[in-house]
Amino acid sequence: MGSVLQAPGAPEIGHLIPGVPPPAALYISPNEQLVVDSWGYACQLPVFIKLRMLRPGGYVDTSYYLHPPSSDRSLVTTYHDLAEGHLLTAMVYAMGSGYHRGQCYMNVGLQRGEGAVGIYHHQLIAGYVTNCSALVWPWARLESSVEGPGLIRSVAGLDPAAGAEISVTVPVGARWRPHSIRFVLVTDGTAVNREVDLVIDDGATTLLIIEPPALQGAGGTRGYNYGADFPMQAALAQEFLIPLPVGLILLAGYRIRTVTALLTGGDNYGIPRVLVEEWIEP
Amino acid sequence: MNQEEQLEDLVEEEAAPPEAAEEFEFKTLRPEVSFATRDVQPPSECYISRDDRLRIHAWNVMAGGSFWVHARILRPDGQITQNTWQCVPTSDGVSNAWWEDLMEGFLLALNVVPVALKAGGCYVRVMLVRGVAPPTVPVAETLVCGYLASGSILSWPYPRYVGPCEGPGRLRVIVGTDPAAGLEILEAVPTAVRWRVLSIHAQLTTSAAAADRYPTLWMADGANLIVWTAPVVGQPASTIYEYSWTRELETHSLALYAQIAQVGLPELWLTAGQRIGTNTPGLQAGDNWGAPVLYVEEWVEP
Repeated sequence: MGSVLQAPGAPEIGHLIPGVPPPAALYISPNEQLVVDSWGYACQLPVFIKLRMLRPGGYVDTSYYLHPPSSDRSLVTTYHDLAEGHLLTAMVYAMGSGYHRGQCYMNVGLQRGEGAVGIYHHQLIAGYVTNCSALVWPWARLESSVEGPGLIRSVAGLDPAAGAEISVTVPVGARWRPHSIRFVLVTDGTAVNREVDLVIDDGATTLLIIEPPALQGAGGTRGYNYGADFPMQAALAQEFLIPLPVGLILLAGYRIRTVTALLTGGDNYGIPRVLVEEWIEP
Repeated sequence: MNQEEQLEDLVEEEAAPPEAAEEFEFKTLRPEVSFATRDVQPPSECYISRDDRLRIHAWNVMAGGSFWVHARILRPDGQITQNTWQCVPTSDGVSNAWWEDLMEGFLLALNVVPVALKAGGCYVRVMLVRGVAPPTVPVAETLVCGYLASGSILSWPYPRYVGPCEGPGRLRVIVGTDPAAGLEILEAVPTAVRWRVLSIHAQLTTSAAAADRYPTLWMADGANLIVWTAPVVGQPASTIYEYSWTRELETHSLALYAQIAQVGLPELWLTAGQRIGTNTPGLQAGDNWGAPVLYVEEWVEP
């Protein structure tokens, strides 16, 4: 068991107790507003912003505000009046479930003036809010919306009609990193060999074409599976394994689609399933 | 429970005071610490003298992009002023500099707010300097430095200093020069940027001259070859082949349907002036490469 050393006598250093300077570097004048910006995807509940302020009377005041993020990655801005004082801490947090990393990007700052015509002058917080981690000020890391881990989503594309190709588009306000892709092609009895090429484009210009390991004949069902570190392989009887460059980041409007040589009117693709890592990109 | 009811519950949960046991005795104590409300020390670690100026530096490669710099200063008379400057940098990646006069006081906050900029496209540094112009200007203090992007603001105090080659770069689709018939593809990394090559796509149309062509892609740092790739099949006369070079894929071509050739690339970082091109053994005068499409991640590299 250790012992606590205590020097005899009173400390030689005396601290100011009455008349202490406010323990905060951020003075809020009477003309300031709190500005909260958010870009959310599928956010069901509002987030909370909590402030602790040292008011001129010497007492610490805690206040909180509700902010409802969007569900479609669009910008939502709210403005909140503030009283004069020194800001001690600020915190943004989500209550309930549904806030995963990459889902709701937030900026919190201060402006002088009211509403949309105010002049933004101080950023306090920037980052993704999640179920289990709050965004805080001071000593916060200001984070861009396109760095760090993103939201993991399993995205189902549209089921193409018979004879039509697959096409999945990165939505507005998002950027994707595809981790895996899977779809099934059922061919009719027409006696030709189909080649299923996966094309990645920016909406118009082809960036990349990925070939399959083999052709697909008539009257068959094949699963096409794209993933990182896959070998190029016609595995088992019905599954193709195809490598996917997972370092490829796709911006809004970019497409993942098939281009199938000798596709016939009776051939039918199933619903494509794309596992993506998604970031908000305002 | 609908969303509105959930919200009410959350608000009540947040606002309701904690319940107390009946025997619990409440005491309200006056705090022993009191705070000064007069002659308060200026809430800033940055004093601006009369000789100090703001130096704003930007390297930008995004056409149409600009930014605002906002500074909030506590003057000696106790008034807080808001200063704003608009900066419209050129989009050629060269250094743009602005020198702004300041008033004596304490810097409370400084923000750099982007307009129409994306990640990796515009690198900005804001410093406090003493004097008028280089080269006789010692740097007093770097306030902020980093990339500007929509939704991302550079802010002081508590800044996060980011170097020009850190973090996510700018994703660019670059349609290169379309070579004349019989000539090879040749592209160079522009001035003041670095590239991470994600993929390259190009189309080769061969003439009727009977020979197999073997397109290879190479990268060089001027005179020295860095890396060279090659397809696994040749391209015969009178055909159109699509070539895709990309990372994390193995070189592959279907033997029965070779019009698409996929060729693996290494993790490839190139700096200004380094080149990418094709070399096609068997290329005939009537063969024609289309314009290459390069997908790259780009950073400003002054």
